[in-house]
Amino acid sequence: MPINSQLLKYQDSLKALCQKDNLSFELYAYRKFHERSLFKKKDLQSSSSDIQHINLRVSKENQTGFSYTKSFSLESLKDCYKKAKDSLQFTDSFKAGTLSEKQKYQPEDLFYEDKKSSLKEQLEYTKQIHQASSTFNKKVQTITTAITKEEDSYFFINSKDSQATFKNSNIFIQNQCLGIDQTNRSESYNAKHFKNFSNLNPEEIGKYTAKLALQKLNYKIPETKKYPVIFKAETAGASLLSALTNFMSGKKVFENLSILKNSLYKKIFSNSLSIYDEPLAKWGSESQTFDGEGFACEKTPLVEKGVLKNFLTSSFYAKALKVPHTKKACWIEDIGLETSSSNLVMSKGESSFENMLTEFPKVIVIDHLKGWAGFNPISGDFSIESEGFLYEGTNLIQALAQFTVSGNILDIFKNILKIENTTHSSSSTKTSSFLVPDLMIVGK
Amino acid sequence: MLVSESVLSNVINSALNQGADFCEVYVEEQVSNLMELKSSQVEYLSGRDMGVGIRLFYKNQEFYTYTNCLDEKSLMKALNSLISFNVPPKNKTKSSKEDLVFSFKKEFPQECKIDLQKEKKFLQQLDKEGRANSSLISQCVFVLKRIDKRVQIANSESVMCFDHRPYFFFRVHTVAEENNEQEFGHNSLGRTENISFLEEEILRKKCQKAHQMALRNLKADYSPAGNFPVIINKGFGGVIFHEACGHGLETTLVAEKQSIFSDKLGQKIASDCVSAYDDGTLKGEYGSIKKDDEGYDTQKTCLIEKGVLKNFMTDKMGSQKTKYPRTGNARRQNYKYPPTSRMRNTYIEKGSSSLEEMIQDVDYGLFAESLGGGSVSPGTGNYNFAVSSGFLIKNGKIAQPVKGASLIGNGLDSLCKIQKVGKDLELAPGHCGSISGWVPVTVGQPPILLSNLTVGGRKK
Repeated sequence: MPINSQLLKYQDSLKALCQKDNLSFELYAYRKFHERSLFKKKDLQSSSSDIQHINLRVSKENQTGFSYTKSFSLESLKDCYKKAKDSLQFTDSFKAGTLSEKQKYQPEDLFYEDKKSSLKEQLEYTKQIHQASSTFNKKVQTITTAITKEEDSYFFINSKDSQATFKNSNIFIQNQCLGIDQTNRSESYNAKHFKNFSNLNPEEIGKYTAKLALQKLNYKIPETKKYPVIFKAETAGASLLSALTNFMSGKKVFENLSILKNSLYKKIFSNSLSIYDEPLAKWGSESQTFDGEGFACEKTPLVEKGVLKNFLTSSFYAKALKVPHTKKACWIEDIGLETSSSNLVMSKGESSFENMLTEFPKVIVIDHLKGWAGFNPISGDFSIESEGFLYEGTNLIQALAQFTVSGNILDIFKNILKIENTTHSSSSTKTSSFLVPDLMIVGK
Repeated sequence: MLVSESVLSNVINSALNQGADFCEVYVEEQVSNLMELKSSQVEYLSGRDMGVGIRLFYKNQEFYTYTNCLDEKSLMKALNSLISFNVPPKNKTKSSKEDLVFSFKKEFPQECKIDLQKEKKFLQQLDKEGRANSSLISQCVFVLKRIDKRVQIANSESVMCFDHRPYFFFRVHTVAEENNEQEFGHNSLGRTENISFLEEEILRKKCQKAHQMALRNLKADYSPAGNFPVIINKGFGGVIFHEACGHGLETTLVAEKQSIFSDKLGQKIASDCVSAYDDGTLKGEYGSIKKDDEGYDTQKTCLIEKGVLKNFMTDKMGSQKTKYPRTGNARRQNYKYPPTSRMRNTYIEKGSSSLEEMIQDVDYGLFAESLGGGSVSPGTGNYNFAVSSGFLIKNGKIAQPVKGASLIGNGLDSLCKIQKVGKDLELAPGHCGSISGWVPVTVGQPPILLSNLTVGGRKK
């Protein structure tokens, strides 16, 4: 049964309860299906799910209370309402937002692609990827190969009769290999995201992962000193971009936990840096037509030509910080309403990858930032275990591992020297590789 | 009872009838209570989660499905979606298990009553005390989380197990600020069993340490980088063993020969001074369990004895594939994950050295007084973790505090570099993330001295 048919019938009951207690309500619910085919060595380990979730916020003047439940029954919803009222009673942070009015949303199936692919087809693709990486070289084993199909429906209603729904569908592919010889071991990981199977090339994915494991097998530990570093777009670059935008969270700024709190409208990054949040992008895994408070989503500039243009705000944080409301409220299961980006896009630059490599005699290309425990979420300082490759000009000289790269995230994006002229997509980011001239590498 | 015995029997028998070698149904309900104080204001949130996970084995193939819909029709639908994954169609069908009788009944205890007003006042008092330490303290975050979890596990081997798992977790996070620079300190406490537990003085001491750490880090210089001796402190310092070795001893990887320890059973893998255990029986510790998530009794498992690898940690599938005995290590975050072999309370046993002796042994090195999180690639054994509070050691004495250090190394290599193990064992709670989700664990050790490690930092 469609999610809106299931839940709309409760709107009157909720209204009646709220009227009695003089409260307003917002209900944000989802239903998610997934099917995953996974090969671990030769063994198939597959899974499927059918999951539903309701978040409920009740408000009175400027006070709010939250609760959640996993059952769509009226009885559970009433229990959830009672818990939300308890939450309101014991909560003294006055974070009530603005109730969204009825508004025009994008079509509910904007991001949904009816894949019309059978489970058999999915299993076959998984096998093909697995086989391509397993047979590439005898020094390479495939640890896991998985294809996950997801179909999600989201639904929102509030006591102002706002009502919205949208669907999303995604296909995620993961392939992980292990390189082994007599002296060394290496791991490689390849993650891809598609909207349908028509663009999928199983052999290419499998061979790419296996080749990477083989390339990394003869790694060396670099000498400790400062190097120019290129962060590779789809992996290291995307991770750094997400880490940076976390500091743009309106919630973090409000709570005095962001190093960007005093930087709005200031030029604090490289001239060449522009970053956008694009919730309506059809390619993204985090696409949405409305946010956690039911406001219609839109593209938001976060950084333009090095200037911090916006924070990620919900209605409350926008009001409290006196900054634009960018409609980025999002629900985190069993935590409550937070603010978050959706799909992030970093504008491409003007240099080819080869051009960036030849900017200095020796350049380290980092393709994997592994140790995010070494990232300080308050100061932005980091010292992160990494993997990559040493280049001299366009010649790949050596695979590198067991080293750390250190610095501060604001300095990274301030000191970008060049950005690649091509963008690369991962599930929810579009980024380009970028060159930073002088970073501390600690190895031997 | 969350799901009736007859529904469980019907689901399991239906799976066996359709050719499965093994079927398990895991039912879970949990109520979470979260009280958080931030910016001197309290937020409180409570919610209910429930769901069912069904797992099938066809020899060494494993299929899993989960749903929030607990009625028989939905469970059968979920089961049938799973059976369609079994690519080579099964010709033979097994007869249903006539002796599958679940006669054991259990009433779960009532949900724990918590005095929310009292707790709110306590957090407000902690906030006041924290900020009174120094005008440089700009933010205090306190989190009190309680989870009241009830599980029911039934399988085709006539196991029917009920477990009540209450969890209590407290976390403090302090931010100090000066001249637009911020640093933080942290501390935590986690217990199972009595979730009305609120030992105010213990929590107060935890907070004091976090405040001091934040203030110290604010004044500290960046850590030098390089390779030198490192002393890792007791308690959460045990995360080094958890990452460097523990994950590699889980049969999830060992069974596939993808762990660096796969072929090392009975061999020397660490210094003589290292003995280590994974113990699910410790009363009240955050990683303790009565039954594992397959309904198997927990136990104390010796992993390393005087440097020699003695055991791996197994779940049912891991044991089936490796033939190593079951150790009761099957764990999962919740019904959304099939269980795999995971650590419980994992620690290095105490040795004979004092911390002072170790410090005196070091001419120039790092004392990692407190560690943050870490991670490992079990296939290579390469691990990393963050030092959240550190001091330089110069000429056998503790010198100035340093910040921004991380430690990296390789498990097999590092275990052999442990030169001394202290006599003061301490455990500390944490959350471990792996393929079966995040599970509560404790890590632990006495202080240990490593001859050298790669210390990542910003200064050469």
